[in-house]
Amino acid sequence: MDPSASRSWSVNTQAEMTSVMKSSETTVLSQLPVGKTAKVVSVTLEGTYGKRLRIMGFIAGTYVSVVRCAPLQDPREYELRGTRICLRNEEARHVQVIAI
Amino acid sequence: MSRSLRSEPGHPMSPQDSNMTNNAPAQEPAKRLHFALVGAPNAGKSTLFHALTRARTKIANFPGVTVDVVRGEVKLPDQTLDISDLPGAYSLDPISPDEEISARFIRGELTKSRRPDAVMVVIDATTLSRSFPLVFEVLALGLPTLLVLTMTDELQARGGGIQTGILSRKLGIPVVGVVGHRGIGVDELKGFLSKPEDWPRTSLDPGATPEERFSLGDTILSECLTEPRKKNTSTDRLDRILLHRILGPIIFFALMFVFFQAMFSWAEAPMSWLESLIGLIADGVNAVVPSGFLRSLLVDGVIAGVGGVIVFIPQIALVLLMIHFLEGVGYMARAAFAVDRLMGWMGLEGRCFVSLLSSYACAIPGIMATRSVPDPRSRLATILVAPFMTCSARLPVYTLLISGFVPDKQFFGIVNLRGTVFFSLYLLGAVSAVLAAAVLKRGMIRGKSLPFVMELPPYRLPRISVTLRQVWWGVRAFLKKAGSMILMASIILWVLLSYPKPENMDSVNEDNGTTLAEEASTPTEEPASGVDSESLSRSKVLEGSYAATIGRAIEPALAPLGFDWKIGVGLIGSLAAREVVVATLAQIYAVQEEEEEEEDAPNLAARMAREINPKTGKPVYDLATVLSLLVFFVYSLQCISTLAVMRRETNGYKWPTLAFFSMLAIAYVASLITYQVASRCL
Ligand SMILES: Nc1nc2c(ncn2[C@@H]2O[C@H](COP(=O)(O)OP(=O)(O)OP(=O)(O)O)[C@@H](O)[C@H]2O)c(=O)[nH]1
Ligand SMILES: [Mg+2]
Repeated sequence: MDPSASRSWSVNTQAEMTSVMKSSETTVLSQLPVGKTAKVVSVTLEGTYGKRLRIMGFIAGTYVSVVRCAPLQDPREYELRGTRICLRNEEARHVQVIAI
Repeated sequence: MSRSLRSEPGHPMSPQDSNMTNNAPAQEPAKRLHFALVGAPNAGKSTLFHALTRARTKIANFPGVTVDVVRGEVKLPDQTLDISDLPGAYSLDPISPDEEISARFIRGELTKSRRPDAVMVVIDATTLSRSFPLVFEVLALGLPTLLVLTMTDELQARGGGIQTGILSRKLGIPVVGVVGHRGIGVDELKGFLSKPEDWPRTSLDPGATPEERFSLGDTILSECLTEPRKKNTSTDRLDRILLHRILGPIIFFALMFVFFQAMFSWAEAPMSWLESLIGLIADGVNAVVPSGFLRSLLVDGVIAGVGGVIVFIPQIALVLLMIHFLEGVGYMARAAFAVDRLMGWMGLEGRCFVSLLSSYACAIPGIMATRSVPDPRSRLATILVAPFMTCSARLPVYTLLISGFVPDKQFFGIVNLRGTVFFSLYLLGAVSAVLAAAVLKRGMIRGKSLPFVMELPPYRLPRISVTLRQVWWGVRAFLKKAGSMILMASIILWVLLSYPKPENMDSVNEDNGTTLAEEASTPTEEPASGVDSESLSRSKVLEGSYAATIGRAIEPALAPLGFDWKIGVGLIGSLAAREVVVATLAQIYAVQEEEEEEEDAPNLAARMAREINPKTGKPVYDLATVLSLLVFFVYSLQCISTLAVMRRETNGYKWPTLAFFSMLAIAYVASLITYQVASRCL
């Protein structure tokens, strides 16, 4: 949520973020339906893996869309920052997002 | 880590020195510069490394291909440089063994390697915006750093672009765009390499958290990156089918099934060429070497043994081609994604499955590949079960038995019984491996599994040269094994099979080192009586040989599996390497060869099929015995090299010992059941 961020795949300012928050409801990434896009609010997973998710781009303001789910529903494939990453729902549960 | 060579510099003009000069003399003029390639998995580091050095390194389209430090050198006009290709890492704060190697290497913490003097951060230009945490982590180390952008061709093809000049100015470090596999930009990059100390250093504050680093990166990119307008539509279209809930698995299994069907007919012609070639060599030796000890050793021992194994190269090459194609195209990551849930039920994860699939080529790279699995317990379970996967060393055994004893029946015009049996054996190996891993993970090495985070790269058409090169490495490794371990085993077996000579036979044997090839080349010259006495003597020698004594000693234990002492000797030999069983049988039945007199030298399988059990009067190799032998080879761990790698990767003898004996026990029990059931029902 750094004000200097100004890329298309992230939300620019604190103000904009708050306005987005008002207009939509927050949910967790694992609940987001296939084909939908959302903005990350925060990662609530602690420790190494929480940090790893943030390093992979799951940080506040980043757009994430759900591309598809695996044949057995879990894991699911997400697109963010030009890459495709798969996460188990177990972990995606810890990513708070705002659906848009 | 074994290859993370120490990098004491040799003389600049004699590259071979670098690995040997442990304590470089004090008068050594200048240290060779040492560069490291660091970057996210699948960014194209190894491709760039190959373009720079032409050194051997595996390239494939999934994250986690390189799992060890690979060293190479670049020759510039005025000096030679060392370059190390590292395993991919998203961060220098590692979560898996392969990332840890990279992180420690770049900090100079690996005991066997010198810290790099400068770093090339390799970033996939199509995923630039997610790459900044790593870039800044590396910048924070304070080493001279250069940014290489790969895949600039893909970025352009999708309507995007990057202004490297601006990026370089903003970051304060040199930036070079390349297309690794075409060598574009490589010369420009080489231009930078001679003087890393002159590279501009960044004045940016690299930040401390991923959030800070991303926002810094985002700001920079907003001034130099044109986002690609198009999505990677072909990848999306393919994934819609290949990752489809129902179609995906069906297509995969159908393709594999067709492959194994086709493999049999494709390999036939080259295999018969190899057989004739080896026949010619045997004829040549027969013509040149006088009959006696040496000729028998060469023809009955070396050529029959090693040659009997080498003829299976066509099958091995085809399987390797299939695996390297799947790896190169990007299917492996999809397979991991598709089966992760299944693997999760067993306490494993998708990446373990990729390691298992790679074990279809050979268990050793498969075991190495587990370094990309973060969870140590899942990793251990995968290492222990990788030998169940049908590696190419089993191919000679399977092919020999299937082509010799499974009828060549056709169903519905396309489905061939032999191909089907072959496919079933591959499937049996995979299912057994996964089940065994589940048992291990539930029992001995229980523990909650760690999260699964994996990137799915776009599909890419693998370069034919890269794929063929990797097939060739596999074939070459097989040839090396044939020329060393299998050769040794063949010679030892020849001695065991030919001695002691029965005393009353000495005079006969002196001048009758008769061989298959000799018989075949002069089929009508010997009078029938001569053949009789000769074959009698040969069989007598075999029956009274050391090998027979050993084989008979273990025969009681093997009889319930349907094996006679000759198979027993083969099994003992195969403890060194699986192919040795084929070499052994080839020798045993080459020795017995004189009993037949035919226009064509019959191949090994045909000779085996004629073997009669003296006690029952029935063929030794009936279907029950053949199935039992196949099942034995599905399960038992007969490979010294695999055990050695297991020991290294698990840091001790405990797990390899356990794996060896438990797999032997499983093989025994499974063969026992197979034979007892099959001999009653068939
Ligand atoms: N189009 C294009 N493809 C590339 C380029 N460089 C590499 N590739 C492809 O990208 C894939 C990954 O390449 P590697 O060189 O194995 O990647 P790596 O960084 O060594 O990967 P790891 O060893 O897993 O960390 C392969 O399919 C390459 O053919 C490039 O410049 N352009
Ligand atoms: Mg690599």
